[in-house]
Amino acid sequence: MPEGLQVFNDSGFIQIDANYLNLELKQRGSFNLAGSNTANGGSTSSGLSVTVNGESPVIAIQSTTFCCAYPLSQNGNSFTFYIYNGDNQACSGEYFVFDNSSADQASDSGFQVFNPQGRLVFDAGKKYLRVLDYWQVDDNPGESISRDYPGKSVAVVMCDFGYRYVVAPSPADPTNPNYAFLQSWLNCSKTQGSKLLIGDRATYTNAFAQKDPGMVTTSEYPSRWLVVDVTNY
Amino acid sequence: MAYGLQCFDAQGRIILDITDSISKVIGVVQTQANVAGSLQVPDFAGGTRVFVSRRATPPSGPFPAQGKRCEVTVNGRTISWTAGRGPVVFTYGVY
Repeated sequence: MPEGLQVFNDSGFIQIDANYLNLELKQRGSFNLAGSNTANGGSTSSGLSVTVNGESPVIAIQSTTFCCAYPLSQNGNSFTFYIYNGDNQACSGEYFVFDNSSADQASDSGFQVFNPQGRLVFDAGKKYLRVLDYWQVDDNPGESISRDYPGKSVAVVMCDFGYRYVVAPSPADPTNPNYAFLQSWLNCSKTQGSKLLIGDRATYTNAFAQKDPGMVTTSEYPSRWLVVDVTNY
Repeated sequence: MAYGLQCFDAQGRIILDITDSISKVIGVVQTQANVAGSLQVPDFAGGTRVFVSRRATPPSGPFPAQGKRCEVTVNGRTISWTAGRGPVVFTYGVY
């Protein structure tokens, strides 16, 4: 960069220059969800859909019970996410949708950085994705495990489902190879101000399902979470 | 903050503090189905951490292991992904 502005952090890393690129907050909203009842095959699954227009949006949530948000569908530039309540208690929360940053100005005042082509690349008035942590949960978190980010209001993007399941012969028909008894659990997140909790919540319990030849008896996958700072957002 | 740059909104709230980590997107990767890969994160500086942002792909029904999923992991300066059933798009950056 022969001329212009460069901003470094305490580690000497260039945080802002003419090549700055980030996701910015495009939409936010609140939600209230009834509790789910996962017994007997997930008899009551509580959640809601959120549809946004964009290029490559991600959704972050804050929730008072263990929830997760994931994409349901895409139709052109229309993306639909689903926020699922993994607890049997009612919950409330907020969602934040981030997407590719535009060249539009947040306002006519404030701190702005442009690239050599005159395109706005940073605007202090915009609400960018502020990452606090990238957390991979390898082991079963059980009731919950947590991390705290003092002074921050945290929300979380689920980057990978974490789940495990166990398949056993059906108790009702144990000799029938075509049916199985299934229990499965899903990692969900819950926020308490600056604290993020990850917990394991049942999804299908005592479910009877048609067995597939490719099915294995036990499987476990880690979850991955992008923890973001939405303080004052 | 002993030195640096702070910006405030009209209500006097801090909206930018350079002593905080400001996330920065470095690039986007689209994987191919059934192909594993890895990359070194460019513009990497010591003490800066790497993140990956993607939209989680739901398990396919109650028996998700019927299809392999693409696992994206970060180890030091390297982002790696395993061969998954379908293509995956992820954004990576530093914070």
